[in-house]
Amino acid sequence: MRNSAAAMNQSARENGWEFMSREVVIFARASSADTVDASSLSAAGGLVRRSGRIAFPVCGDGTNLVILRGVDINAPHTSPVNVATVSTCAWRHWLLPSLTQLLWLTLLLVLLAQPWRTTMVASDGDACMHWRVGETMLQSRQIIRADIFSHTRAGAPIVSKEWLSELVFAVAGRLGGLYGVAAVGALVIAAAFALLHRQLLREGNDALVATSIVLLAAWASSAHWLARPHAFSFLMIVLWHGALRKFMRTEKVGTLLITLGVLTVFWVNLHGAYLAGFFVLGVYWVSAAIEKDHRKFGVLTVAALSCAALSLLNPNGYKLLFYNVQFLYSDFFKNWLAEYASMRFGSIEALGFILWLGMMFLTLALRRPRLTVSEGLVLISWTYFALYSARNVPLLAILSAPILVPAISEAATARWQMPSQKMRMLNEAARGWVVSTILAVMIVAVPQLTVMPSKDWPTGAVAFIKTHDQQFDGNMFNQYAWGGYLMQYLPKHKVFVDGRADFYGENLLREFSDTTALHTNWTQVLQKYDVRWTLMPTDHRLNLALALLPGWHCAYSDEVAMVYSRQE
Amino acid sequence: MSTTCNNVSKRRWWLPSVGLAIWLAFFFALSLSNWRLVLISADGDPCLHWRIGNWMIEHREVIQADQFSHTRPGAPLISKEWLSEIVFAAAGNLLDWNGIVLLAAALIATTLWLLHRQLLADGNELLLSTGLVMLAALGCSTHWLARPHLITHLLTVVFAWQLNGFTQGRVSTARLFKVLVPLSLLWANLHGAFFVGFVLIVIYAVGSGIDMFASKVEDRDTAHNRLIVYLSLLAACLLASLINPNGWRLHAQVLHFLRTPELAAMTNEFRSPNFHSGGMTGFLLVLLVLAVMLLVARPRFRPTEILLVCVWGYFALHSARNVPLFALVVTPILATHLNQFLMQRHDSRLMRSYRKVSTDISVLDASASGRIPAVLMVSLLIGVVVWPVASNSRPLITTEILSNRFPVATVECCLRGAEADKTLRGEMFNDYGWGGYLMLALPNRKVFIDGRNDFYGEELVREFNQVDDVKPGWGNVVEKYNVGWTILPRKHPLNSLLALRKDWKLFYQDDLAAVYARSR
Repeated sequence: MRNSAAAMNQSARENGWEFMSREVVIFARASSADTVDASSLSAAGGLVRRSGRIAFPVCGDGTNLVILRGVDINAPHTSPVNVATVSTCAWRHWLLPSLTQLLWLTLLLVLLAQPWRTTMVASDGDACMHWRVGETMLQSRQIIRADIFSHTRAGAPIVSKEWLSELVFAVAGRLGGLYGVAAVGALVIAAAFALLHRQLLREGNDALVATSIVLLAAWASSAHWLARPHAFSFLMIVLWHGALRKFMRTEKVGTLLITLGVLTVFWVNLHGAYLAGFFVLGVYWVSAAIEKDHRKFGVLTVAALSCAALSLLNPNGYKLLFYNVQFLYSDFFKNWLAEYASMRFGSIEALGFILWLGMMFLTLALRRPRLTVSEGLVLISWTYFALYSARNVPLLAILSAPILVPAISEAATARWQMPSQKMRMLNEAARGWVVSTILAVMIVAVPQLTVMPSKDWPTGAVAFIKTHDQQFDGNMFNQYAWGGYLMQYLPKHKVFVDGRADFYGENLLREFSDTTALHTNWTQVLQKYDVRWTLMPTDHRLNLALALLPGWHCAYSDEVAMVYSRQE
Repeated sequence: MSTTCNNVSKRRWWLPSVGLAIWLAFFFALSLSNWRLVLISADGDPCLHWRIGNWMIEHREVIQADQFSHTRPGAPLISKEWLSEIVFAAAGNLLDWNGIVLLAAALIATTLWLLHRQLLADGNELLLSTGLVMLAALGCSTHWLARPHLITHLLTVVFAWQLNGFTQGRVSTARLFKVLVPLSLLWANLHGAFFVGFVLIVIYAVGSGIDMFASKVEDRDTAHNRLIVYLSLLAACLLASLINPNGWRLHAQVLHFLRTPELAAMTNEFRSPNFHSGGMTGFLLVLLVLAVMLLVARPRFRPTEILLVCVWGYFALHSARNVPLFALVVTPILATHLNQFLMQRHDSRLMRSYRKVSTDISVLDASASGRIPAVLMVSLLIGVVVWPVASNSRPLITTEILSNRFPVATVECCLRGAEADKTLRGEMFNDYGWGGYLMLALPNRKVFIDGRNDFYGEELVREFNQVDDVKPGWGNVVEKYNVGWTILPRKHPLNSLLALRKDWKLFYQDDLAAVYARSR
């Protein structure tokens, strides 16, 4: 059913509404398309949100959308209405994916195409390491408590920080090999940004602005698009922060407590960065104290305590918390691990982050938004964390987007608002979740060749070792980054070290570094751990040293890796 | 008459003004505390500049070909900072390391004093200005080394001050040209970062351009005129900068270096800031104040101010050595807007107390002079430094290169004697960071490499890295350059490899360094 704008305008004027020039857009799902009555509009005044958007049922048959323009939100009883409607046929809605779903599908496509598909699993050896650990848990039907993958710390107790995500990756690996692992990573990452997009739209932001900012956030985060447990933290932080922001707006206690509680139970078993969620909760708690909002302070205190209690629901109980905090406070690990290093702003992967920082500054400088205490503290603290450690950049992008997008949305000019309104209108009408799901299944379910690239990984050396098992029956010394790969592809051999730096500890890692750096004690380390053969990059200095050391000979060499073996 | 007499008698000749107190505090702290050792020992470049400056003093000419390396002997050399090298060398020749320290301390103190004066000239409150200068000092301290770049810090403040003053209408066009054009000429001969001045002018020009489009009609002509002035100034400064021993080749060299990341990556100061390090605390605090100002004061920035923060913020994140420049350029912006914010706050008791304290200090400062005691104190310090040199006695203030950072013991005990001459035949392979020190400490030997990355070029840097990282083919590089001995940190991987080779033997070793010599 189509209604003319003129008829709607006439109806509004007869009800005492006058046209003004202020550009505030209201989208409404109409229950009847014929009339707009002033009482409905004035009743909607109480639903005004901070961004100036109003959503309310006005009229229509459930299939039409009514766009009201030019309503003064400060004086809804006398504010003007310039009404236009768009009607669409009901059945077409079901074929139309929403904007959020389109974003999700696009990200899925990008992540599962090359080169991202390979990058997600082959940037380092950790994807393989998690797969192997998860597979071991699947086979043994129990959570790993003691190490069985290294000879340097064989049998040492393990705190399984990420057992649940490792299981998920292992199931995916069983079903689809490396592609399955990549697919899980892609689904989780795409879901995180899609949910962020949905959150921004639900908070009433301009559709085009929200979409652009989410794409920028995705770009800024892309250096960490890896099929590893931290991808789950992207998803969790979107939901966590969304729940907190919703509580600050609606003050619905039950929803907050349930959401955070459920998220805590999952997050604490998925990835160690659940502490980020606690930090954000702490920021909101402190803000409530500063603003002397006793009710919110009380509710957030209860939330914090209950989440803290629920975080004990993990295989290691309270020990997990101490373990994670100890790791975070270790200067050695933070300086030793490349992913904890500060961003190298001269590299191409930093460009997204630079643009994000620029966007943050320009928004605050040009739009001068009035932010709440909690929003200000989140921005400041997470900008610091992102500068301190590049791996916090995605969390900064996800947390700061909802804070800054409203200010950018308000700056949208009339010319921008036209296509944006149409986009939002279509988005509201869209019911295409079935189509989206089918498309997603089609994208994901078709397995695509995904292998560890032989130009970067010792695939040739591994094949050689497998066919000459008897020669390599002693302890190995391997490149750190290859450890996880070797755990998966040489399962019969125990590694010297792999990506589980927190498990191996400072002492062993120093010994490893001393050996690779040929410090004065390097031969003693090899003797201490009874190393019988080494697997290092071809151009590594250790190979040059072993070539001069009596009793060692080169057993294998190609362009990527060299194997040295000790003669008896 | 009586009013004039009263005014004169009220001036406290013994009390230094706050600005003078800042100068004195930093000058004496840097000259007398252990910081003076950091100034000369944080890297080997102070030694390098002294050596080169000395050569020019002895030969009475600007150096045009390399005299210090065996890898590029006689290669044409673009002297980016010949004038400051002569000045540093003269100071070192007169008063040894104390002379270089005094010079560096004076440059740093003057930079901060000028910044303070700029903030006051902009109309900011004394207490706020002083606090922000302390903050800027913290931001700059990461790069306080006795090297020519301190001149860039000083001239950056001058340029920014004059350009801002012109924008505000406090500096005339004539004065702008009279100050900045000659300074550009000087800058181009003092330090290779003279491009900073051009960048600042361009930013102000672009800001004026934006003002032209965004302003009301009556303000557009003013913005247009300013734009013309900035563009003319840029041209004049560019032309002035061509007056240097190498002409346009200097500019080409600097641009080539900036566009070659491989060269810049060798030194920490050209890499992105490492926020794990305590040295970046000052930078983080400046960013924190900027963030708090944006969120709480919500100032209305001018387009030029936005450009300054964005451009210098990017440069600072790209390269740690730009962090001080960011601090120096952004501090006046912070001062202006924080001052406006504080002026508008009448309501709270805290603000009223702050106002009272600030006013009292300003009144006291207005009556302060303190020049006589300041001159006396500085003269006393110089006297303490000069007297032992003049009387050929032991120095009262000992300033030497730190022996736990440089192979001082190695050089003094073993590398100057006859045995060294006999055993250490051929050329040396040295640690990159020690190159400058070895140039000064072993003038009869030539280094493999030192801090002059732009001179050595990508090819040699790659070859150096091949040996330094002990990559396959390192032996070919050693052969190519006839390396007969090495001087490296004791734990260097190359030492472990040489220890395994029969054709190399350990010549000397201590806690810091090891020297290996090839057996011939």
